[in-house]
Amino acid sequence: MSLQITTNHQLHVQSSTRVLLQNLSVLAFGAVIVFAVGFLPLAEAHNSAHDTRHAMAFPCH
Amino acid sequence: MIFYRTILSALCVGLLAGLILSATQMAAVTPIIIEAESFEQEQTPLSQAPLSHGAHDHSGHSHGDSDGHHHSPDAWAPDDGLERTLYTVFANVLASIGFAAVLLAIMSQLQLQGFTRLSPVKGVLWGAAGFIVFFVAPSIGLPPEIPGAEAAPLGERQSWWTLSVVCVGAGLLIIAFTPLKYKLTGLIAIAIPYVVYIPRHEGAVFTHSDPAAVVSLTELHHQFIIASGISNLIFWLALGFISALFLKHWVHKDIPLNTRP
Repeated sequence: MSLQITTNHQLHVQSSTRVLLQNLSVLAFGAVIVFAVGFLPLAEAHNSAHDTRHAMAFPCH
Repeated sequence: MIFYRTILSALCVGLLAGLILSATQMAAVTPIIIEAESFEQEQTPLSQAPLSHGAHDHSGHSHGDSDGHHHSPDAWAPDDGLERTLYTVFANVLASIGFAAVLLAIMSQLQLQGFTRLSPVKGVLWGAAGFIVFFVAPSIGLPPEIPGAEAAPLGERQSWWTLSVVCVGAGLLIIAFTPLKYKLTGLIAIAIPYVVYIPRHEGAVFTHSDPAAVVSLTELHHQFIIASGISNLIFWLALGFISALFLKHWVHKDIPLNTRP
């Protein structure tokens, strides 16, 4: 009985850690894109995203 | 599985919200940016003519050449008109996908842990929180700028933008989802960026040689803050609403959800 509970608990912890890691990956993916559009210093990137940066209140120039 | 579904959701949500953002932006925000740039272009002959006299074969036709940017004036830039609009829509959708991924990841995680049970109405509230974190929080220290405005060094402003977003975001999450005794920590987190340091520009915001132009630019700047605020608010409310729909009907559709006691 107690063995069963332990196993279920471990399974639960494992799967919730996996979910957390996956959601953290999505968060990192989003953050990288936001920084690329908002902050990438390459002149070409700046010029392409120029109006977006101004309109979304990213620091520009 | 969660990863795959959430990323795909972010792409769909980002596309939809990015198009909404582009529509409001084109209607109310971009015209102000273009008008502000016209002042920079008028000023160009005064400040740059001696350097480029005679052999200037590319003046005026390209945004990057003529708008007085301080760096890499000869770098490629989309042509004004359709090309520039398309690049802006693309950048809007891209940024929107990034914001959607951040929002979806946090919403999804908190719902799976039982901290919240999302509904479309709560989705709108999440959107409002996103607006506060990603637009209002940085704008309090660094108001949205129109082209031609003077400001503190770019690197400092970008660091402070990040600091304000992280602190206010974390603070709001703490206040919303932790027991009462921790909520003060959330308030402190929100206060940190404003108490510690805000990069400020000393002196006039607009240094145009013509005083009438400075008056016009200042007026444009005020209009711009309101227009970009409304445009971003609509964007974020839509982003939160659509994100909640995608989480409910797809990402979590076959996952049993428990609410925390």
